[in-house]
Amino acid sequence: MKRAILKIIRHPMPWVFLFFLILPYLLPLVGGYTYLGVEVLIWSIFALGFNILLGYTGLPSFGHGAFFGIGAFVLGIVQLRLIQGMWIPILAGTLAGAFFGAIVGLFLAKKRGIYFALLTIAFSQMFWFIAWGWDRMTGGEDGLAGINRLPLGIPGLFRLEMENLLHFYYFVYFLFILCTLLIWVIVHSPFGRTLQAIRYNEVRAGSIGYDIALYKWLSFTLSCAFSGLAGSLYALLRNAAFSDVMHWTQSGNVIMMVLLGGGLTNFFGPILGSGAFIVLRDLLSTHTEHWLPIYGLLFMFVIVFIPEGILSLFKKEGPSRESLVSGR
Amino acid sequence: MGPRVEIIETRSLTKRFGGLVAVDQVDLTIQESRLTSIIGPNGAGKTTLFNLLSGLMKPDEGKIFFRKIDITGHPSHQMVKQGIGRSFQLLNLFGELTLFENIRLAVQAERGHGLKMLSFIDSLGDVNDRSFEVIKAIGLEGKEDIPAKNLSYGDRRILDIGIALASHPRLLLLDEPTSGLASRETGKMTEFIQKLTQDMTLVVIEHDMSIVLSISDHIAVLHQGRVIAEGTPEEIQQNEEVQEAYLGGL
Amino acid sequence: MPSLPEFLSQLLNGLVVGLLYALVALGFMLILGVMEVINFSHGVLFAWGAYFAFTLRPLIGFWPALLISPLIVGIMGLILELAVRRSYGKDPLFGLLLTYGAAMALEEIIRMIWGSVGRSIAAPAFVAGPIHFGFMPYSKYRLFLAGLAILLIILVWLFLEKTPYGAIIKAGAFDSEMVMALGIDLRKLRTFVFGLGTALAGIPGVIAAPLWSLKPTMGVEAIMPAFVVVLIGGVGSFWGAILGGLLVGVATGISVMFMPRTSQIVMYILMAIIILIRPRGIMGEKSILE
Repeated sequence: MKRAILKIIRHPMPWVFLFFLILPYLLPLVGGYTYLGVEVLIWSIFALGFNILLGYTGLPSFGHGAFFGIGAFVLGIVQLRLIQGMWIPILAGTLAGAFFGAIVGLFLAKKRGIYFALLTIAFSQMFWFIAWGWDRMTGGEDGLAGINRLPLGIPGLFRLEMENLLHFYYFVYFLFILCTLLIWVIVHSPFGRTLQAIRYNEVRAGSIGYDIALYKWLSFTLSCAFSGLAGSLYALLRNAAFSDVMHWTQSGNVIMMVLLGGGLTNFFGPILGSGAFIVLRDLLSTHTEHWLPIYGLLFMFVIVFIPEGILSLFKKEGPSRESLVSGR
Repeated sequence: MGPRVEIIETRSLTKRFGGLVAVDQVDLTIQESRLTSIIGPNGAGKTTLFNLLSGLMKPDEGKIFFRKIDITGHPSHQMVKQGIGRSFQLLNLFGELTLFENIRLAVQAERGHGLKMLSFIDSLGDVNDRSFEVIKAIGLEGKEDIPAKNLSYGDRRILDIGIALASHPRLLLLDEPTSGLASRETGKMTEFIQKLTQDMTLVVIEHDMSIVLSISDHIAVLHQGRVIAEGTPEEIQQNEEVQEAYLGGL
Repeated sequence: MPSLPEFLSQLLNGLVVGLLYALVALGFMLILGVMEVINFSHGVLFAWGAYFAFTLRPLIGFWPALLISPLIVGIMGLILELAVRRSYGKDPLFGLLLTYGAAMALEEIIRMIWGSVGRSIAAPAFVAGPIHFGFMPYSKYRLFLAGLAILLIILVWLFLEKTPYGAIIKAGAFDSEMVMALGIDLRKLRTFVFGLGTALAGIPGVIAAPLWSLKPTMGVEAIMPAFVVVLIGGVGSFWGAILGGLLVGVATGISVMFMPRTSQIVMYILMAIIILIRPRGIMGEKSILE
């Protein structure tokens, strides 16, 4: 019993959950606000899911912003035109991400490296233009406004007024916990190990009996599902889905988060990276309207000097069999 | 000593790379339960032949039959399921992973657990047990937690074969298994290979003629993509064409 | 239904644009082939070429601006190369990420200097106005553009075919005896190619400026067709880039006539179809991308 407790305490996950539990109360102390906290949670979901593809399978997608955007738009379209509500539009956004991810994945499953990257860029641009041009559905340049956060609850037990940002924070927090646990299980499962095998040596993985294309496709589709979910939540946060959710820089943002946080070598990297990114963006933009060039240069700096991110500075040598403790 | 089954039969197997014909109309038959060596000068097409047999490449012409089943053009993961395993001339390991994890990946594939997303890999008891068995069988117990890239060269060569063994192959293709080994390790490897013949059919690409002559039941000689001679070690030693192909003779 | 003159006119427009796409793709592919770097900032440099022309032409005239703008862009490319060279030999992903960051920065700097509002620049006086082919008027400027583009393509071809640098690039042999035998400094080659490649982005920017309105996002709008052209035509294939460029140009041009709303995504649909049929592109072979 005592060993089990020790094991849990030594593991990063309970601390991460604890941190985000109390974050809304910590934020005002450093000049932050709840909205930022929700953003970090949403981007963490996006980045963790994306890292299944990038960090674990080793496939560089430069177009995942498209699926984030699809999640946002589908949530908007469903909520505004079909079914008022929360769960169904969120589910729709997630499934839409997965669906389109599955289709694009068919083109990508036999590719890798630069070829893979170029194709993802091309497809994401295609979705951008579709969203931009199909203005009857997506509102075109203006996007979809008027997305609501509706109350949720169990009748008789409790009721969360989602318009209250704090309540919404904890709703997203709940989803964040689910996603983190789910992704943890996935990457530590036989499937997850196979993905890593593909990252380390695709040819050999095929030679021992794995259908590489199938695994790559599944990895891609899964990561797109999480992107869709994150996008839906983002639309709820902003009460709108603007076309910028699908902009090519979103794809770069999520990559930046994973790399900055050390997601290539550590499960929790994407979460750290999301936090760092939001903080950075907030700091930079309060000082200057033109923070993008600085961001761009910073991006380059990170790539050149710390390609494996902050957490790699703390990396242990080699993987250990006690996977639950090492965090990888 | 009953009738021998042909485990592999190729008909007019051909593979081109641009203008170069690497494998040229090869008709080759491998008998089950024997150890066949494939020899030939560098560039004779031996590794390409292996690539074709193991599904890493698709032939341009010709057919491959595995126990009378047409497997021409099947991808490598299907070949493995059929029962064809293969080791690599240039070591092909999961270097970042431990010895144990390297083997476990192969066992996991063989057991069909690859798509399990919702269970922890450490909890697959049968996979773990079988992995330990394989590690013991290849004589590397005690080194399970060493990352593959940190193992000695000789151990890595054995691991390369071990990964293929974990898939329970009926036919094992070994591509220059003694390449780069010191003479002491070569003896160990040769013994290891000979033990394997008890359980499966082996085809070995090898340059060291003394090894070839001592372990082979049958030898096929490749030159410029064509089979120029086949036979028992004695027959091959006396074959003039073969002597010509190898400058300096056997 | 468009009339015949309209149709032909649009078709020619598509070909002209296609030539520009081919040029941008060629520059992009040179960098890709020699350094294995996906230069994401290639499009933004195209935009910089256009903006330099916009600023310089009123000051120094058309031809000087045409000569100087690509030079400045080329110099920018050389500076960029100093950062990018750290990614050589590493996972090509790093080069892509580096140039991605550069693209973001460079695009925003355009906004800072010239603002977000679209600008336009007129065709130079000596090629303004239409020329009449019997029943059909056509823009003199576009013909002039096409002529320049073809000239440049020929120059690139000559460079690849007739110079030692070109021979090495074609052979793809960057670490061989061939390099030593020809006495070429590999580092200089790389630097030169990066500069040349980016200049090849800047020039189309300059000459195409009168055709399109200038906005900060025109960089992305130039790089995407380059990607698509390379994927369609096949990596490493000179004629593939030309063919791919023309195809994309014509397909887009025709769809503008019949289904204007889809004109921007037509090239991606075309790409998807071609990739399905010939995964390596029309004239592609197994390349460094795999």
